[in-house]
Amino acid sequence: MSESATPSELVILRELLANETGFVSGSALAAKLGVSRVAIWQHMEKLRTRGFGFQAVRARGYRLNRRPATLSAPFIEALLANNGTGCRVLLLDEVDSTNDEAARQLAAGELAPFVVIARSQTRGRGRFGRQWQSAKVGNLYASFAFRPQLPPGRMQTFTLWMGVVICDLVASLCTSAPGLKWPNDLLFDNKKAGGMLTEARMDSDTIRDLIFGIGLNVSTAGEALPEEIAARATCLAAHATESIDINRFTAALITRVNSAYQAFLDGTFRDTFADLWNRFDLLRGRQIAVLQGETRVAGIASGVDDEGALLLRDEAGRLQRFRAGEVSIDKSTL
Amino acid sequence: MKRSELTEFAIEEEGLKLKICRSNTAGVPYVEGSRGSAAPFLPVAAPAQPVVAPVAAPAAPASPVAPAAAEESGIIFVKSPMVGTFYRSASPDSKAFADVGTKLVENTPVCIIEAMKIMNEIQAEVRGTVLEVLVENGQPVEYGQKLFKVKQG
Repeated sequence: MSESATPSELVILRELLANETGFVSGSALAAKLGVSRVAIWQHMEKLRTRGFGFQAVRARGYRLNRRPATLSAPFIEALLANNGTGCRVLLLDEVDSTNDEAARQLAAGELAPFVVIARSQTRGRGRFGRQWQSAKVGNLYASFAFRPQLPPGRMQTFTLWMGVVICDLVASLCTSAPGLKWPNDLLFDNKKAGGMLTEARMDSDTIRDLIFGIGLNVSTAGEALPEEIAARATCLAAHATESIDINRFTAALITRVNSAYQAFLDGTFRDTFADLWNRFDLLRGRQIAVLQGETRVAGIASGVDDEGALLLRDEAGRLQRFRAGEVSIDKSTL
Repeated sequence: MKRSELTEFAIEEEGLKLKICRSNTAGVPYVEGSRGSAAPFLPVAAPAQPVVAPVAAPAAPASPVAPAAAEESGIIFVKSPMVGTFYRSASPDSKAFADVGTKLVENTPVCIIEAMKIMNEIQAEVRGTVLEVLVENGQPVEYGQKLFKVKQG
């Protein structure tokens, strides 16, 4: 079901990616894999059909001169192999929802951690089963599956932590910084570029399955989306310093999310969290309204508490905290 | 008082001063009153309690373990393992996970509790038949709060 590379193909790609500016000799590759140079050439022919291109120069060897332009499991796996996360990649062309697929894989006994990535989603979801409009190309839908075995009380700031880590990664590629709108949207200039959805399944008092899903508009913003959404959406490419290679970005995302998960488990994330939160908290100081069920409370956003609950200074000057709710920003304060 | 996050509540009128505090760690309210003389303050404190306790939802037990004596035999409860918002279905237009009459086994999903943007699917952990759904869709729930009344078996 996945489009993974064979172990031999991975070795070839890793070697070529590790020497991207130079050449790797065919005999060195053959020696590394313990196969003939003809076999190496056959592997390369197979990789050519999957979007890679190779330049061969007599007496020097091979060099990568074309890389897949769309999501490619072999490319991502080769990039990840060079920076060693233990997270396996399942890439699908189309899926109903990567979160649902991750849940099915866990239920079928797939070992965590792994990530389900899809080129397109037919039933992408936000909170409460709200539809996430999934464009056909240029976007990234990824769901990470973990088995934390932690009590739910330990998970309080998980989604916020993941959100600011991803903001930090995105900011490193962009001219202007994105912001995180509590609790789970990534925005540029008040236009949405991504959203996150974390789902958990409980086993008595601990979390058995944890699925962290993210949808990011990487290079498609307006044109592929319905008009009413296009006006409120943007993409990373519109803010990036140079063109974003979706596979390199995905590999970087997988690396960051996995190390952030480890830091969350061992508690070392706390100091970094406070710094990143202050950098990317989009709401702080703004006039907002929180809708919780039928109740609407207006006031000034005042950060989050230790448990990740939103703090709001209401019109009477009282500080109120919200663990859940919908936030709207008063546009006149932008 | 616990639900409203109040830690202190005071009324003063005509020589009566009533102050109700909640310590952050213990969560147990303590009541303090004075009337100039040595008049007992407890009768005054009792009627003041409803003022600070919200009327809509049943007060959450301080501990997730409810006193056994108060429960009918053969009746058990599915309780919330966390603080959050209670949802009976995965999305507004999908069917409720559990309704009156639904037969539950340990791993039957009964609801979703959203806490900090994590949608937590809660399993029954008990066997039996749902007699009553105790919380309305979309309502906040406390740790240990009873969600479903279940006839064991």
